Parts: sequence; C-alpha cells; structure tokens
Amino acid sequence: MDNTNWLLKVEGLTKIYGEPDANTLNRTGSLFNSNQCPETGAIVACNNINFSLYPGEVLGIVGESGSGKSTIVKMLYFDFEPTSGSACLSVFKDGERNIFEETNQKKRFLRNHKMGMVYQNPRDGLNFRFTSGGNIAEKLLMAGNFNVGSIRERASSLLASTEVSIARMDETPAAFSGGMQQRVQISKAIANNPPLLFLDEVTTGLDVSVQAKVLDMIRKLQQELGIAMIVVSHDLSVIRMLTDRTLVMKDGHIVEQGLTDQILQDPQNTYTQLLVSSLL
Amino acid sequence: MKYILDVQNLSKNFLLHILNDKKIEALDKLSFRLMKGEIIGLMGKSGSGKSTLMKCIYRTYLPTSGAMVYHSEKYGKIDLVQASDFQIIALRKSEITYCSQFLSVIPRVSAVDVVSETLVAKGASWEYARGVSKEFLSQLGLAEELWDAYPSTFSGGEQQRINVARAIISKPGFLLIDEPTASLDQKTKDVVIDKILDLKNSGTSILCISHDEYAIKKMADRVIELKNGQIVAEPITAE
Repeated sequence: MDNTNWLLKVEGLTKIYGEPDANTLNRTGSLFNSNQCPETGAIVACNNINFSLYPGEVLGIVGESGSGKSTIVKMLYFDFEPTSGSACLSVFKDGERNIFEETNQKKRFLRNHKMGMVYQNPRDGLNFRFTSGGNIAEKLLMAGNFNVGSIRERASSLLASTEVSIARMDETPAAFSGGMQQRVQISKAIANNPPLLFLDEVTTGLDVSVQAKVLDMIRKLQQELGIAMIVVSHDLSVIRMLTDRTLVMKDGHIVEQGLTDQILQDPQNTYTQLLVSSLL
Repeated sequence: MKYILDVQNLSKNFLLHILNDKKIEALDKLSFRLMKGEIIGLMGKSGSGKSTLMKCIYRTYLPTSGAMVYHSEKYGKIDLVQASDFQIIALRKSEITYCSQFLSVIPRVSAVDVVSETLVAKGASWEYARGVSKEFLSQLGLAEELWDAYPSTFSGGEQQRINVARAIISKPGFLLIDEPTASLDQKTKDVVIDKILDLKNSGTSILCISHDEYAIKKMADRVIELKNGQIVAEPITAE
C-alpha cells in the first residue's frame, strides 16, 4: 500500500499560448477568474499541474470548458507540446526519463505501445477513409504486428468486445452512428493492450442510452484488463460512475483533488462547491 | 477483545463558501470504540449526525479534527483521518464496505451483475459470482424475472435488497450499513437481519444506522445514540 509504485507521474506541467512575460503565471488562475494574462494577453491553458496515476487506477479530471482538462491529456499523448514540466512512465526506461524530452521516434513508440486515446470527436481518432477493421489494423501495424491473419482476428475480437457488429467490420466508420463510432475508436485505442488509456469527453453528445452502453463498456474493459485511465469530462455523473479519484480544474489550475465521492459530497473549494451544487 | 476502530474526539464541520462561509457543525468530539466482530447500532433523530459519522469513517467526508484508528488485517494500524486517498482506496477494495440507503450503480447493468460485481472485484469468476448472487437474491425474495432487469426501474424495496446483497455478499471485514431494513416487509427484514448476523458470526465488525428498533434489538450488541452531533449517553448494551 505504499504510494511509490506510480504508473505515470506528472510534475509542473504547464502550457502557455502566446507571449508570456515573467509574471504571466502569477496573474492568471482561479483567484483572477481568468486564464488570460491581462498584460500580455497570453493564455495559460495549464499551470503547474502535478499528479500521479497508479496502475489500474481510474482518475477523473473535471472542470468547465476551457479549464485546461483536455490540454493535459493531449500533452501526455503528444498532440500538444508542453511549455514546461515533466511526465514519467514507470513502464518506460524505469520511469527515470521525462517523456517530453524523448525523440519523436520514441514518442511514437510510446503512443503506439504504451498509450491509447479516445477523443471526443471520433474524426480525431479514426481515419474515415479506412474501414473499421482497417482502423484497428492501422494501430496494430504501427505497433509492429504485420501478420494479416492475426490482425483480422484481433480486430474482430475487439469489435465484438465493444459490441460493434463484426458483419460491419469492412464498412467505414462514416456509415456508423455516433455511439458505434465511439466504440470503434475505443477498440482501436485498446488494440495494443496499452497500460494507459486517455478518454476525452467520450460520452459527450451521445444520447443517454448509448452513453450508458459506452460507460458500461469502459468499466468492463477496466475491470477485465486493468488498464489505468484518465477520464476527462465536464459531466459529474460520468466521473462518479467511472473514477476513484478526481482532479478539479479551473482556469488552468488544479483547485482541488481527492476521492471522487469526497469531491462530490464534501467539496472543499469554492468553485467545486458551486460545481457540485449545480448538478441536476 | 480487540477493537477494530477507535474513534477519538472526532469533529466535522462543513464550511459552505458559496453561502458566505457559513459553518455547519455536524459532529462534535465523538469518541467510541468498535470491537472486532461487534455490531453497534447507531440511532438518533434525522439530522443528529449518524450518516455524517459513517461518511467520515468511509472518508466520503473529510473529518475536521480528531482521530479514527482502524486496525487493518492487511496493513496494520491506520488513522483514517490522516490516511492518504491511495490508502483509503486500498482499504475500500479489500476490507471496508459502505452500504448507503440509496442504490447508485451504472445504468444498463443487470441486477445479478450489479450484485456479482463486488465478488468479481475480489477475484471471483463471473460464473461463480452470478451463481452466488442468484441464490442470495432468491433468499431475499427478489423475483427471478427481475434478475436480468436493470435496477434503475425497480421499486424502493427491490433496490434496497440489491444494495444490501451487494454489500454483504463479498464478506467485508468492516461494514458500514445505513438503514438496511427500511422499506422491507417483515419476512424480508428477518432474512436481511439473519444475513447480517451470519456476517457478524464470520468475524465482520459492523456499524449499522437504523430507526428500526426491532432490527436493532435483534442485531446490535450495543447502541450509540446521537443528538446534535454528540453521543447522548454511554453506549447502552442491547438486550
């Protein structure tokens, strides 16, 4: 029960857009109710983010639009480059290297072998010119699996586990409903059995019955495969159902973190109290 | 006899920043001990602090001051007031279970699977867990045609039974249970009471909130009564 065996450790992660000056970081945040520096106009998307994620753990990041929650996972997945800060993965070079300082080749390796990402918009995670099976094959090929037979077998078993009809494996995701596209995206993201999965607003925009199905699927995958996950959502019900611990973000800062039930029932921060009392 | 939980001067205030820092004093310097394999009944009027106490122990609420020394079978002595989130998660997974009054589960999961989940989480196979769950639900009188249905559409009493089954089935070392017999008929009530007593006899320590004097009389070794966030009198031994 020691807390030294983290899977991911993030320290001082910061992302600034524009031209900051020396005081930009001190002039933004929840105290100022803004993430924009009044002097320089620079936008501080994330300011000094620190947290650890443990193997098999599900961590939630909650906050309003523009609070910086998606930026965190997109930096960790190398979609955006951070301004400063570090992230270490215990399953990569014994956790001793800052993954942001690695070569592009190593970053691709990490994306293909150690991480999976599910975006809010399936178009960001899937190639709509490929078939659904082809999308999964793409991820497997990138990870160095070149056996066509085994790729096809793996693709069908993944689609089956996410309840996408195997008969439709050779259609492009463009012909699918939003919920199905999202499930194909999840299949693709977990194709290489990554130890770490990022889920960015995965159920936003889906109707409630499809949302329930996607949530149930994510939970089953977590229980069966023990994948550690970071779940980004502005929806507190999604956070409540999926996560053990939660970070609350506002204006680029973590304003509160704790056990998810504690955050929802005994919030300490003013903003979190407001957020929780706004719950329908 | 060994104690499993030693609560000392536990206080809990809620500070509501969104209401101009209004302070609500919910628990005021509570002290008591729960022995291993003992059932303490927590009684008191609504608003007396029973659920707050239980949620502080489970750490859904952050205690304001005091100590709660818990004797973990796996990890030794831990002050639940000071324990890290990570330690609390580990204890919740292996030893401490909280059964609230309300069922809150993921939608579109069948009643049997909702109950089975807690056993699977402790390493049982789905097949085995489903078998045990079905037997349990049938003993609790939940109609067989409901086993594969989704609990969100169930009546209060049916949800209650799912909730209790879910908590008891995995045989936790320490159980916090809130109103287990409310909204149940007499026959089912007796089954639930027997199940809780079986659990106690297998060594589980239990803190049970109830307004049901019949249930408390049958189950509890001692009763603690709360009033305005304080313990009214020394724990009374039930008959």
